[in-house]
Amino acid sequence: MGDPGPNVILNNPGGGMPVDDLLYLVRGLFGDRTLGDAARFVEESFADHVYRPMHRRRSLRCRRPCKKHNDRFFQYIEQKKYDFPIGHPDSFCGSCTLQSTVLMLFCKKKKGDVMKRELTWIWFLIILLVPAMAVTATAGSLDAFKDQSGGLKISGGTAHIPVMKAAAKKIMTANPQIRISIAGGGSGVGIKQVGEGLVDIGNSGRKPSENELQKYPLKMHRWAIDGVGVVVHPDNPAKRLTTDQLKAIFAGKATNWKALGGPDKSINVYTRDAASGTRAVFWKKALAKGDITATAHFVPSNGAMKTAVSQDPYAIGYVSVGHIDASVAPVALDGVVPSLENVKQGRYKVARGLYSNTKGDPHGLAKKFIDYLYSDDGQQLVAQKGFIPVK
Amino acid sequence: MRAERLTRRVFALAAFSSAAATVMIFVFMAALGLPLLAQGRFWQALWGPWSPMHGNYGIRPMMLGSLYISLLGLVIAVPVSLGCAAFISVSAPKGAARLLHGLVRFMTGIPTVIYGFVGIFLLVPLVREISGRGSGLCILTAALVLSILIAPTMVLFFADGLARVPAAYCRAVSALGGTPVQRLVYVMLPQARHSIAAGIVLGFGRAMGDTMIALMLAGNAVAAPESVFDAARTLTAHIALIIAADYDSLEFRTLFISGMALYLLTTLVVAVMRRSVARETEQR
Repeated sequence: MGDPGPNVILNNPGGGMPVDDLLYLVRGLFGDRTLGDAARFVEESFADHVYRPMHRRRSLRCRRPCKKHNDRFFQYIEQKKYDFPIGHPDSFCGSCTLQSTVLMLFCKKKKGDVMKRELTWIWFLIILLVPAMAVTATAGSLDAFKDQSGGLKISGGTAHIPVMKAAAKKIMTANPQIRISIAGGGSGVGIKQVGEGLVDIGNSGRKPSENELQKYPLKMHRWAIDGVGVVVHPDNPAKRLTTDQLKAIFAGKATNWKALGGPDKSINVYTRDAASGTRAVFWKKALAKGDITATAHFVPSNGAMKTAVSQDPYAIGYVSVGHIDASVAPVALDGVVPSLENVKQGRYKVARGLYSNTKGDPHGLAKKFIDYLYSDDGQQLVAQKGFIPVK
Repeated sequence: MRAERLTRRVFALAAFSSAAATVMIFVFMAALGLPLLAQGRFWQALWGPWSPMHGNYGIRPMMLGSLYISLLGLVIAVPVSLGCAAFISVSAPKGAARLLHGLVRFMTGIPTVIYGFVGIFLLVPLVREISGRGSGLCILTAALVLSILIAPTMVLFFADGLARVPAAYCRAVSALGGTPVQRLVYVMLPQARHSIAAGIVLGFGRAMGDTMIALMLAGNAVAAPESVFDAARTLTAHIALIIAADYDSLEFRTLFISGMALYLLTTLVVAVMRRSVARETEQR
């Protein structure tokens, strides 16, 4: 590697980032031609060998390039700085087969010595640089995590997990020295574990109770609000329901829209899978932990819920308030329409704060993590995942 | 000669590792499902209803859902595929046959999510209006779309089998004055029955294993279905829905039972089909 000369990786006139090396390498080998041209070149030059009929297949054996062309290849590299005339008769003859050429494209000055290390290196660069560049472009609030290292353990509420995961991913990509582990368990588990010092941050979808606060010196940080609204098809006239009616519908006791001011059709109940935080709030605050009928349709996400309800004129379902748009109609529950504004003002009750709790004031990584949740980036993640940002 | 031996070893290794992977997956699922077995909850988990709120984690509704949907899909797809294959290899003009063959081959490559997506917007409202009840997300819808998914694979297998019937047999029928349809019914179909069985087995496997279509179109209700217009949940959709639950929950642990059930159910049906074909061959 000490010899600069035609070593494609070392010879980097730009002297910039490694990705410049890569571009330089590709441009050096194929001039200003695109990769498509390069592919065509390989195909045209070796059509004979690649497309040889079955009975002559053995001629496809890997052969080293013939001496003439091998020498010429390196002559070009030395004289013209990689501007190798691809497709020119000077390039390769029929006896230089496909494999050897491809290998030769990445070879050292020493004849036929394949630069395997460089080849690996190139792949390594490609795999590493693409996400790395994407991340550097969006850094900013992540600066706080520079020069940090160590682990951060988070557990508790499952509704928080999407935001936690997204934030952790951004932080850990920006600084691989930080390891963040995220576990579920539910709000109770989160509060208990952070109180006992088992984790650094314990998430909960409710305020810790008096009892819990007496036991543990917890600090809570509410970084998002999660509201869940009942939705029906926009054509359905039944847009006002009482809590009792809603309970009866979801328990499978009220089965026809007619009694509720809708068409004379059976009600199709849609619900979410058990891991859904949306379902958890809805079940607790709107249904008061009542039954959900076994004949309810299950959909895997807020988005799928919206699609399902917008397609089915006799549907009833529930989505995170942030997801409600023109394709579905919100149902006023006991006279209050589920809207972002009503949730923010506290008028709409099927809502809750998403809390991250720490034992005493947060410090170190836990503090930085919670600060990140409150930053513009963090709050943007909150909104992206369908919650209401607190800022 | 050494290269030859090496190549053979590589082949053997490839075969061995793929077989080993299949066995290992089963062992893995069995090992992780074992705690339930030890708690005496195994049969309840296998045959009970599913209502986590009441502590019931049975997967019977899902097993029924999987079987109903894939069998109904098969029932719809087999005649269509057989007809299509017969058309391609017997009665179609050459150009049309080639066009159809190409189209079918193209169809095998369409991602299932596209079928599901189209199904939601076209088929679901239609089924809902025709049936007059329910949401249109039901066994019938899923089975119809599933049949479109598995038909191309079966058509290719069937057509391949029909094409491999020795030309001499076909010429013999023609020489005896048989019509193309007689040739098909009395010579080609019986001759090609191994390919046909293989196609059906493969189609059934795809139908059982498909997740996206059932997840999008079958409604995923946990009640055991009572008619083709009822929503149902397949084992695969069940796994996809529950996998997001946290690792410590009982729901999550019953996933391994679901996996095992899916595995065994598929193996069982495939084995029965293969055995019946084999026995019939012996009798001849």
